[in-house]
Amino acid sequence: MAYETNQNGKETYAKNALDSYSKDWKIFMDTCSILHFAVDKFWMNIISLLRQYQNKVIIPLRSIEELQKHEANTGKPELAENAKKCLKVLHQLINAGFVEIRGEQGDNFADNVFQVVFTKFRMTHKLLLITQDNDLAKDITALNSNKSVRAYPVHVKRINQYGCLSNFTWNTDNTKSVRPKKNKRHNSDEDLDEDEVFHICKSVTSLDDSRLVVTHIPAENEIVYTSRGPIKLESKVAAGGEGIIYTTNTPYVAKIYIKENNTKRKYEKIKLMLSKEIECEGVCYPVAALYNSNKEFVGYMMPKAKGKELQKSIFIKPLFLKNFPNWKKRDTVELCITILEKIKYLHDRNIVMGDINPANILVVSPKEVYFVDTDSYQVENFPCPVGTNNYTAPEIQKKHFSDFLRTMGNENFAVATLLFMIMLPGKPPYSQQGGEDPINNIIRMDFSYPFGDSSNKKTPDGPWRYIWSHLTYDLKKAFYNTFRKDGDYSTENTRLTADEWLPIFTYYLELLNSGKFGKQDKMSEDLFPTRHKKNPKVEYTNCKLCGNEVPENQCQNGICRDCLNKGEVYRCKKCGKEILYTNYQKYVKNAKRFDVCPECFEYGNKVRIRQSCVDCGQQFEITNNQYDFYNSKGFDIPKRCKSCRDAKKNRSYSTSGGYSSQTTRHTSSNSNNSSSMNSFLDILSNLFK
Amino acid sequence: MDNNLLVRLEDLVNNPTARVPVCLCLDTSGSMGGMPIDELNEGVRLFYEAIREDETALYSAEVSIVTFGGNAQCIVDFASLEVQPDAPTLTADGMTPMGEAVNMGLDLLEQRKDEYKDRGVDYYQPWLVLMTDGAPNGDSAELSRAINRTVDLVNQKKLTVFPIGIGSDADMDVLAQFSPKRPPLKLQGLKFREFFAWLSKSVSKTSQSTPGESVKLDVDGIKGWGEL
Repeated sequence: MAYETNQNGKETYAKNALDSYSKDWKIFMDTCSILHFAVDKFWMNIISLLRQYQNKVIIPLRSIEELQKHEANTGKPELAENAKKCLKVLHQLINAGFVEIRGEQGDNFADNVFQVVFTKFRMTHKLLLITQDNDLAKDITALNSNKSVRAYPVHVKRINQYGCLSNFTWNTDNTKSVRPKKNKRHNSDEDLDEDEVFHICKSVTSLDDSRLVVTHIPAENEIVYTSRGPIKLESKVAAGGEGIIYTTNTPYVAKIYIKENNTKRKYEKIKLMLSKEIECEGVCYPVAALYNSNKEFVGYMMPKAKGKELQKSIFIKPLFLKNFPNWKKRDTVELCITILEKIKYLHDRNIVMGDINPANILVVSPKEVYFVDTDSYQVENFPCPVGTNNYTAPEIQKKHFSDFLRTMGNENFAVATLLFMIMLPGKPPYSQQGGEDPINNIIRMDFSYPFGDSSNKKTPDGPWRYIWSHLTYDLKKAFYNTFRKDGDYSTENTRLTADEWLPIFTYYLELLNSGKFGKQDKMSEDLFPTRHKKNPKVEYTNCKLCGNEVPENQCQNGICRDCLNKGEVYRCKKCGKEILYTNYQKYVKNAKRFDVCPECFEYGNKVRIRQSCVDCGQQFEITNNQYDFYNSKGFDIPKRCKSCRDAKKNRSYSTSGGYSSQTTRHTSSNSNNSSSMNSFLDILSNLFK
Repeated sequence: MDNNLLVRLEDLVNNPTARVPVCLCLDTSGSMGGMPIDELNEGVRLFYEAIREDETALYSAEVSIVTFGGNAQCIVDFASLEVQPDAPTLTADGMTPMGEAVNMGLDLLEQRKDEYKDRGVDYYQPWLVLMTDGAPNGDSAELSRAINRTVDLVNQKKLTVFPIGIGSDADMDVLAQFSPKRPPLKLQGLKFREFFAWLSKSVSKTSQSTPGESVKLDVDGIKGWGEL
């Protein structure tokens, strides 16, 4: 296979590095490295060097204790088995003098030991820690930034699949803590060797996409082969449209393609992907091709992902609050940084993710995310054949994804969209009031969020405009110029890169972490603010109803706009329709709560009968309300006008004095001023007593 | 339930997910009595359940139900199943005013689409499921108006319609008039559950796409419940 020769050069390089460490460094190793699936290869690589330089690998006693604990863990037989095997190997290595155990019983835990030991001995020794643990690695690396003491640099490496040492993704860039200012595009790609970077191609591969012949597709409990040996597929983790993912007897998982997706093109692409050493924590990038017992390509191995899809955690508010109840704005900002760092790693190597979408990114915490479906990434002349509308740049909308190669400019639109939808959780940048379908909004670049005085006045309703207003000025400016037609970063070649977004977000995070942002307006620290960001020129007050802090000039009688529009919902007594009795009507207008809806009210006041009075001959009117009232009481409809009725009533009072006074009040008020609201309300209150 | 209106409005603006409005236009005339209505109720209940279990569909699907049995009636107005989680219980009675019911369903869909637009909520083109076991016997002008409206919307790609006949007395010719693009289907026996399981899967699948994207319907799955 072509890539193996390529690999040889790399291996020589890696072994040279191992050589220099073995020569005069103190090498420490932690538990997870001892348990690493390629640890045997690592020992094979280093033993001869240790022998040559009379050096030893130092392992804390606490790690041995941890291994013994794992060994006894019946709940995880696989881990127990692995721990047992590793202990046996260690025992031999100790006896042979290649490994030394240091420490005392009762050291807290191993990670702590490294902190203490490294802080102390870095003055006198060159120290190397081999770990697989990202956080520990960061903590130990951070010792280097302590410039107050003169000390040797501390190195932290991890064991890779070849049993050699490689960098953690983030420590390839030593200037990380001081981020380059905007537009200064230099960065770690200068440090990248040419052979770590994929080429940029102009046209799609001509390799045909026909199916490969596969005599047998391996399934659970079967053996598959990497170029380095057999691996057992264990249980099924997930099944997608393309293939099935299994756990294996290694820390990695295996994706086995279904027949329809196992093509020559795919195979060549995976081989190309494997030709570079791409290792970035959280990017589930292929680590080895897999073959069945007939040496036919069936899939690949990759790191295991954890966490919940962005789509099902961050992008839907109730699920967001359920999955991450303690998150504040700083956490979403930090999540953006974590994601951007990984994207930058890939982009620095000319890998175009292509199908950036919220189902392909899994979140564990703001610092821990996983990119999955990496075999669809575009590398060299193999396109990413899939995509979704929301993340597709205007210039490539309505195109077939498998027919062309995406540019970094196309990709940066997707990056911007992803960032926007994390910051306004789940809201696509081009959703808007009165909007057409999203595709057309994207093509027209009709962005609806305001910046300065510019706005198309179509910002979506609800919390979105509030969230937007609380973002930093820099971020709003960047989004606005990216998404708005003719903005400074709105075209394929001007869009911000991951590297350019990073300082905007790190600055934002600093503002939030230091409390500076919260000092201007505490609400800016919340995920879902309930009003616009405070304007220093405006007076604020607490709404009497919801208690939220709101601009005083937007309140009436101490009630905020939102609350004024809310209120009590009840049903119309006539037709049963839902009616809203707003707090505005209640507290500001002091209007009465109507029992019937406006339609029924209008109907009630409509004239039903117009007739002449049998006494005086004058025309008079009977409304629907009056009509219904008489009917419901079983009375006849009056034949006389109001004044004649009154006159008649007075007469009958004087003779018999027996008419019910209540009815009198009704009728008199009825006919007095039938169109006025007051009389109507009187009728109603009487009717429904 | 009294604050339903407010909850619905709040859900509309707070939830950023693009919506799939689905209107079930169901025959509940007297002839549906007995087994058919029981199976229909069970099917609708399972439909609700299946959507509630899918986190993406739950926040995306909005269901309304219009029945025609005696008169056309809106039993459930559009809202997500988070707001109104329980399926209604339908009873069979009366005549078959299908045209009136379809018009009512289309009105509800139009109104809901306007609400989406007003608030800046993305949506997929709506679905109309029309199920009957007989022939329409409402106002004939209403029926032809309903047919014309439906056909226009389908031809403009603004509506996906699923006309489904139940039993041997279903008027397949009328159902065919509602569906300019594909022939109406006949439910095998009383396989309401199978149909609604298929429908919920299709809703789930759509909810995972982006509005405007064409989503292929699971045609093979239709064989599990329908026939030509």
